[in-house]
Amino acid sequence: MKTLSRRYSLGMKLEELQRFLEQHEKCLILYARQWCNTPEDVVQEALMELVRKQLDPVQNTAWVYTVVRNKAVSVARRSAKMKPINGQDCEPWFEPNTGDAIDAHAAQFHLQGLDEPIREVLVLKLWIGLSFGEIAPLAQCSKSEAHRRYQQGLELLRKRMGLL
Amino acid sequence: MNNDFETKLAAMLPKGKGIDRDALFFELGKQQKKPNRVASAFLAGAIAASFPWLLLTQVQSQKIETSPLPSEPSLVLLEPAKSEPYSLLAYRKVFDATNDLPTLHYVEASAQIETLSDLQKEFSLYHQ
Repeated sequence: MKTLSRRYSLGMKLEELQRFLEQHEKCLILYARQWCNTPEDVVQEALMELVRKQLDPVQNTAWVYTVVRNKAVSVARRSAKMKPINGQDCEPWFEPNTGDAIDAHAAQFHLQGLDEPIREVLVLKLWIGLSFGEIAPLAQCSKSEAHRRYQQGLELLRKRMGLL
Repeated sequence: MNNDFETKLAAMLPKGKGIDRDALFFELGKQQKKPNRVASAFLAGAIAASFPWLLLTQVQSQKIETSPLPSEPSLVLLEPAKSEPYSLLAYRKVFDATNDLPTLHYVEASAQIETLSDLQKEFSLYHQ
């Protein structure tokens, strides 16, 4: 029984990490993209830190996003390379379109044209699926401010994409 | 109006090259490293459940070799024990192999095992 428990414990950690990656890897990369051009490296470093600290990924999801944000901002500052505004100059943020979906390339282009605080809230809400209560500490604003930024971002995006 | 727009935006799937998962899992393996005796015992138990005829050695190599025939003794070589973490690849193979088994047999791995002869002795003692 002791051995079985040990096996279960060790196995779950690996499985939990795998499940966490399935759910959050691409979202974390998208989040890091908001500040830097090396999002995979930033996410890798953050997750290595998570593992070294032996933190449970599921219970520390907010921590992971915070670390990714801090590292991405830090990388951007260090490199002093601003993110290119023109979508042609960087990796695609989204998978190609299917069906009657919004043009992913156009959406990315116009997202990149939004102010960073507004864009961050849109990314956290739309693609990472956080609530405004969860977004507020990450975006370093109040819950109501996060909501305001989100609505403003949606309107700007719709307008710029000619969907009003 | 906004709802439809939001729904379509949210339906776009984030894209990324992905991170180096092997490096991450290797780090996880390092963190989960237990004292040699404990880790080996764990692995021994897991492997024994899958391969009843088992020979276990203290980690001499980074590969696992098992006989495909259950009636034949299998030689299981695990990774370096002293300073390096056990191989995650090896661990995963073992875990995958035992995942559906309801029980595990516990084999106490001797820290004194150094040769094949030692292994055979240990093995025979266990199965007496």
